[in-house]
Amino acid sequence: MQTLWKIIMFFLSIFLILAAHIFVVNFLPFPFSHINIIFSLSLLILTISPSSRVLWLALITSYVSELFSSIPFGIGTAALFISLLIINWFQLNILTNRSVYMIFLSAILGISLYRALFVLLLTVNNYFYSLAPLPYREILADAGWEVLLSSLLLFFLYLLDVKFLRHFRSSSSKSIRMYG
Amino acid sequence: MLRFKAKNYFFLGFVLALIIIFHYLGWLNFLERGARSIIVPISSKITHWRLSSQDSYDYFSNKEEVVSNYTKCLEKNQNFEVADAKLKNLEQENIELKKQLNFLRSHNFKNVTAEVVGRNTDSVEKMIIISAGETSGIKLNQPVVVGDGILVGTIAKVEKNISMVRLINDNQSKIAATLLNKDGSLGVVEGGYGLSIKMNFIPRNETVLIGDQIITSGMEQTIPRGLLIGEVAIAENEAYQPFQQAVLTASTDLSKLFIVSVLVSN
Repeated sequence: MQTLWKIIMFFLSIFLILAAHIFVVNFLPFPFSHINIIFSLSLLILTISPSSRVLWLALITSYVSELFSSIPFGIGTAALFISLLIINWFQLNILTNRSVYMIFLSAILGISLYRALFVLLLTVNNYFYSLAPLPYREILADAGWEVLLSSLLLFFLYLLDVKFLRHFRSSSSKSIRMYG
Repeated sequence: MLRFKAKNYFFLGFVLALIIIFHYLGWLNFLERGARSIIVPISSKITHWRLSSQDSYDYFSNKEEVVSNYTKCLEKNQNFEVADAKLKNLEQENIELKKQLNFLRSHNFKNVTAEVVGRNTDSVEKMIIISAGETSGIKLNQPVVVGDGILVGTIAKVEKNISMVRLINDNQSKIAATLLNKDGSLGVVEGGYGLSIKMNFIPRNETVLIGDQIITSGMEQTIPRGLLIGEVAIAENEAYQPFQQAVLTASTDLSKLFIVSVLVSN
């Protein structure tokens, strides 16, 4: 029963993240439509409850999201997956402090890395298929908005978690009992 | 923290590669169709909300704006009276044009009407998603129009039941066009990353006036001549440039599209 519940929650999470991403892209005006909900929420979940399930969740969410993109399939998913793994390594070895500022920095690094990988893969694709060069200046401006707004969103969500939600989680309650 | 060994990274990379390969082989089509059938209604609903909420954006913020709009309205009214006189003259011309239209109909433009169900999920390109795809006969580069033949874009990607339309203001959009001026100037209409539309490669010795209309030139195999694109807002003829260019105003608001027609063949 618990396994079934976990599976339902897993697919519900994917559905909700996708719905939130589509809402942001379609409904919000510029520049808020550039907030990268899929990456932000994947990184948030990876930070507050690290589990390999998060990577599967990010993979499936990104896969479905790519079905509604004109970019050659695989570029977005690969960029997201690689950048999430790199940021996870950074959080393990360099950005080990779990303060909100470090999460903000992780988000800036992660989303910048994601967009850089995305553009790099797209440039390679365009080169091999002899397509028109990308409008790098405009992409840079858009990426700037994306990094800034997505990082701010992640900052506030993590702050919300630290200040309010963490106290309601069972793992946190146990540590409070153990360490006072 | 999520600790990985090297073999985990290889496993994850392997799964990612498998998914991409299976996608291109079409082995995941049934899953993808299922995912699309769940997501498209949600995306469509959100698009409708956006369109209906945008309708209330046109309000006046101060008194000066009301007075300015009222003055413009009076001017427009005068213009309409002049236009009314012209209309009678045009009615006769219309009879003649109808004969020509019958000729065009004999070439039989088939069209597919589709609903706009969302926008592209990444921010790199300016595209809309429409609710008709390969099964409706849609193919790459076919023109997409609204109203009485106003070109809004071309088909950039086709799936089984949905298609992506590259709007004319997208940076990658390039359409052969002609100006309705006395020279019949030819050029290429290009998007300015969702912010503007420009017509480039207009010969410098030809006269371009503000308000001149731009239509498709028919020099592309899939796009017929005569689809309205917009009108000239700014004409730029610099001495050091080999060509002159014009900044255009689109004939329709590209952010408020909800029903479009794809010209599938002639």
